[in-house]
Amino acid sequence: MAAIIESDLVEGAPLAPDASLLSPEMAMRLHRLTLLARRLHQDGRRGRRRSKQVGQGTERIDTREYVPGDDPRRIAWTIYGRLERLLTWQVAEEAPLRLALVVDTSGSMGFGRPSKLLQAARLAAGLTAVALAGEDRVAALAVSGRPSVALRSMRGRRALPRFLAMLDGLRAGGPTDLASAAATATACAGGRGLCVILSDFLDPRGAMSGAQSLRDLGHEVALIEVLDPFEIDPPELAAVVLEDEETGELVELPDTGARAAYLDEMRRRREQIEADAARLGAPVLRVTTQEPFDDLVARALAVGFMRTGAVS
Amino acid sequence: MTFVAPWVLVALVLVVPAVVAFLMRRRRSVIKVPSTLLWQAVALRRIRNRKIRYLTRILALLACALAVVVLVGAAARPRREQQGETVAVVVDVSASMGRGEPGSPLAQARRHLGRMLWSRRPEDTYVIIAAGAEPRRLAGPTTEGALLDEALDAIEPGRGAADLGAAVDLGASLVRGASRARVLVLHDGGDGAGDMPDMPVGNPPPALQERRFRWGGGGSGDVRPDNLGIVTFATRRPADIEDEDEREVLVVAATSSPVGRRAKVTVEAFGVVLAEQRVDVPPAGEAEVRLRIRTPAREVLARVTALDGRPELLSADDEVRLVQGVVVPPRVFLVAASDAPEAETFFAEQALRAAGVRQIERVTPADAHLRVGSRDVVVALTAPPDTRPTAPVLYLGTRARAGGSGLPVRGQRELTVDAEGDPTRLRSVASHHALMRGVDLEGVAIQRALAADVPEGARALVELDGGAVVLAGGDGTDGWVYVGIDPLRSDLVLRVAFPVLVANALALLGGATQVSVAETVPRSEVTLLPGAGLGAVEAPEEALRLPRAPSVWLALAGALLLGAELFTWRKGWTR
Repeated sequence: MAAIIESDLVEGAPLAPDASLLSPEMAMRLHRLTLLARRLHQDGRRGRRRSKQVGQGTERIDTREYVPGDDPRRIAWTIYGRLERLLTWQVAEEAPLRLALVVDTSGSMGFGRPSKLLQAARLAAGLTAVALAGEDRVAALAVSGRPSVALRSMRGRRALPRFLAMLDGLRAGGPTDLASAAATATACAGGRGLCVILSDFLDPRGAMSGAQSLRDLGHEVALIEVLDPFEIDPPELAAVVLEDEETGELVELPDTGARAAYLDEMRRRREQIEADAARLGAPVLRVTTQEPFDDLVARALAVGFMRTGAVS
Repeated sequence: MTFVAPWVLVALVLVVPAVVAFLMRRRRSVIKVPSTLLWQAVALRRIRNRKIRYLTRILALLACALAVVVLVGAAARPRREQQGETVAVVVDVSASMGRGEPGSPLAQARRHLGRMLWSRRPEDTYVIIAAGAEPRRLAGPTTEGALLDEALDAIEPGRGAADLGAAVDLGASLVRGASRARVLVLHDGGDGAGDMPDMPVGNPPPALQERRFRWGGGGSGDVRPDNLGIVTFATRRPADIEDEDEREVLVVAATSSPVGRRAKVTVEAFGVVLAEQRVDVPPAGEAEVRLRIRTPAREVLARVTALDGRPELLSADDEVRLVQGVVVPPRVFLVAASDAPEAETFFAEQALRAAGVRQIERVTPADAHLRVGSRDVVVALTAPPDTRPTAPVLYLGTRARAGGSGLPVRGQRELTVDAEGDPTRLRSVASHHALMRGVDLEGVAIQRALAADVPEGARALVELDGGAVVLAGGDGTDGWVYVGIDPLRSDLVLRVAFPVLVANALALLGGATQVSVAETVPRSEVTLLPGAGLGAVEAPEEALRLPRAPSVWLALAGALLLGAELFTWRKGWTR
């Protein structure tokens, strides 16, 4: 497991929001959104999310016979008026969502202009803003083969600047190791919840190695694939040598047929990721570095990452 | 180190265009991508990183430049300053060496010599001598590989025996005075190899080495391979002649086989079989066949054919051609003292008559010179003529008078059986000499002989352990043949060899005889008798190794570098 380093930036005084990642206007707009999680995991803290478990919330979910000692304020007087039976309202427990953001900072994420890492950081900042606005708990983790940078689970809108500062300071480098990233995320998330992996998933050990590990530990998983347009539709590359940003490995291409073979390989790989994600019950959001942030939000809403309105 | 062709070094400027061509050739551009994970399926090859790619290109460039430099250096033929060795290689080409067929000693000797020449250093000097009846220098002394290779190809098998002594003498004289000189004899160790002459004293004297080869390449000398051949083929007019074309034929077949051989002897002329007879040759022995033919042909051919299906090594001894000589026998004066043993006179007369001599007159040593004419031949038995007659003389067991006079040879001394009672041993026979043609002395028991020193102008033809016993010298009416073997103290007179020897002597001295003797392969060659070797230092096996010439090493290194360069270029490692 990669070591977790508490960044000075996130441990210091509150920082001003970084406009390059998330403008205040965009943050305000994101406050109207809510992250969607299929399950809610109980962690003993009260939040805005309704749990199926009976607790101390405000939303009425059922009634039962009154027994002495019940809170008189929970007595259903309207029902008593109609049925002359003394019943007590049962209310749902309200619990926060634990969101863990795993940002891949391997060398390949530094490719493109803007880089894939910057686009991933923007997305992470947006998700953080949405979660913090919904009183969810957020942990952020930047991982590669090198020692990781993490920010412990926090809640409240005042934590947003810290997250933005951390995300703004990320630099690409090192090899991709999503399995190690998953292990680190588990350690710093503080409990089971929703893990969002932002990566290009170009991991030699397998694109789903990290997601599978998280799912096995009981987390819900969501995948955001960030690619450069060059990777999705490269030009015809004849008789050139390609150099790997991460490993420095050189690959010599033949004089013809390289692009078609690459596209075929890319299509197969994406199909495989979708199949594996479906098996894990993880939604997949595919983005490119050239897409505006507004479009990304819209697409996140479309694939079921978020929804508008209050939490339920 | 110097160069044989230093002007070739000018070609080193070729390095410049070679390097320029290397640098100018098409390179593949490098494009950075996030990951090559998905490209690997179509990759021609993968390189770990840029450093390795750069390193391979640099190495390829260095290999290219170095290959040019090394090849040019090799073409300039560098030579070390040190002095090489001088080797006189004597190759036995006698009949027993075979005709160069696989497994024959001659083929092995050729291969041995070829390896020596291949691995020699450029400063080594070689002499190649073919040792046949007469030694023949094929090449050298030279360092030129082409000349030596030609000489190697020019080694031809012979039909007779080898005079290794003369060949070694020739080789030693050619390398005499050179430093690190040696004479290497490649032979089969046959009994007819003869003795080595005393090596000349040089500064330092050349070393003598020998390398013996067996049939089949085995190391054991006990294996005697199967061979069958003719050792004597002679014709003469029969005593009871009825037709001038009638001839009596003598054919002696011998074998090396450890078992008896069944064979057929055929005599032909003009391709027509005149006579044939089956014969059983005893193990490692010989058998005599006497036939009568009638033909006007001067040239007749004798052939021996094995009928038992056993393998046959030498083909040179299976056929013998004979050109029959003029049949005008000389008049012979037989010089014998009054007290000469009658047996000695008897055997001499029989041998002379077998040679076709019709007129034999007995004379005493005192009056021999009075009656002899220049066309006559004198045969001296026990005592020499008191006065040297004006005619050639054959001395048969003749003892010099007191004071050593009366004979053309000096230093006459008596050889007898040794302390163990064994007869004195035959040392060498000049079987190629006309006098010894068809004379087989193998196995002759000699109890007593009179050896003599070899006078100037004469030649020793048969030597025993104690000295020469058959010598020939002079010419015309001064010609003489000395046979020191005592006829009464050996079984020579009972052998076919004796009349053949006498007939050859008459032909040599008198110019004519009724007996025609063909030149055959000597018996020692036919029977492949293992000899005692030369007593020289055994030369080591010449393993095939890389040449010691620097130019060859450089050329090899250059070729390897060039090959590596082409390989990397074909593989695209340098793009």
